Amino acid sequence: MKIYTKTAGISICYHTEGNSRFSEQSQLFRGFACNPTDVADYNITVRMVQTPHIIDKSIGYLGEGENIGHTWHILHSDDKEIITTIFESSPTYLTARLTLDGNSGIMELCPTSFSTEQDVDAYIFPLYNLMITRLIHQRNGLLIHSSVVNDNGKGYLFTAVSGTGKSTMARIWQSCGATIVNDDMIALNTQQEEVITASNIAMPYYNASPAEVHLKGIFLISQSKTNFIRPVVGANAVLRLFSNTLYHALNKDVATRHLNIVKTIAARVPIFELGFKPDSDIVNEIRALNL
Amino acid sequence: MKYKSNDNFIIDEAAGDKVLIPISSSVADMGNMLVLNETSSFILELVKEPISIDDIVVSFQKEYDCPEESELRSDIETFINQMIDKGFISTNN
Repeated sequence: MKIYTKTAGISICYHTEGNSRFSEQSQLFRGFACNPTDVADYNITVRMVQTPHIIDKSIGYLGEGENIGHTWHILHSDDKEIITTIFESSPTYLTARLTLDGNSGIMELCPTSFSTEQDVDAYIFPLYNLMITRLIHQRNGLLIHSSVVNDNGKGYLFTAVSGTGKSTMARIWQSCGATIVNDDMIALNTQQEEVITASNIAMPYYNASPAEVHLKGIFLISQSKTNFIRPVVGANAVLRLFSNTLYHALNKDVATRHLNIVKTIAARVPIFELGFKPDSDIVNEIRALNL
Repeated sequence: MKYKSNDNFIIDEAAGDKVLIPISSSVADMGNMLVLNETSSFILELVKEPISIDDIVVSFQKEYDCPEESELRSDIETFINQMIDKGFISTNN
């Protein structure tokens, strides 16, 4: 079985081996499935395996989720990346591994109960997130914790740590006629002259749907009793933007490349510090900037 | 005692300034990103190889118009200790 998807601006053709099928129960799968394309950006073969994967902590880069029931690891070399996830209490999977080699990949899933006719979740968390973070990095883009709205063709991005008001800001814009591109995790693509934001499936418990918009302004938000908008420039702007991006510090080359992507975005899109009280006044003030 | 930088960060240019980016698996370490001024960049360049505070002071005196030596030494020690606290420099007895 084959499915085609487009998330974070990247088209992927998934192909299952054997009699396994992609779960049609997944709203995520349905929302991001797209028409078959002649050439997908990446081709991923999905294979069920019976032997759980093992993480070798002595090599590569290790990330460990805290109290979220899984451990993950990325092994990075010049020609391959191997992403492994160990689930501690998943009812569905014991382990999952993705081996990326150029534009091809093999996703091995080790279920808790093996069957030759398995329902497969192409967006298995966090393997999917880790994969898309690496793929977009290879394509000179990145993921950033943020909400993005489309206001009549203009994209405005609001980024901050959780609980600061990203989703609140998105809803305020929605009430003023804009559409929400995503309110948790967005992809920024720099391959074209303008920076394009693309919706991404970030976490299984957030709703997301495919959408893209040209980015006109980046706002580093904080809650405030009064509204204010101040330009942020220079290295300070670069670092403050960097700090809200998903960054896998595999080695110096990856760090340098990630910094270069952030610098490209900061050079093309104005960055502002934004304090706001949660009403529509802030929408009018941002529109008045004429970005 | 000598000091040497750890291999856990990069220094690069951003918008005309030098910045330090940690190479770390910890999200918390992203708070340690720094915009470096000329003198802090100079120190981080010197500590690529093991070096004592005395030798850093001498290098500064050769390169810059420096304040009184005790003040210079104090400023260097303060910066070195900050970098040790952030895990970017280690001591080497």
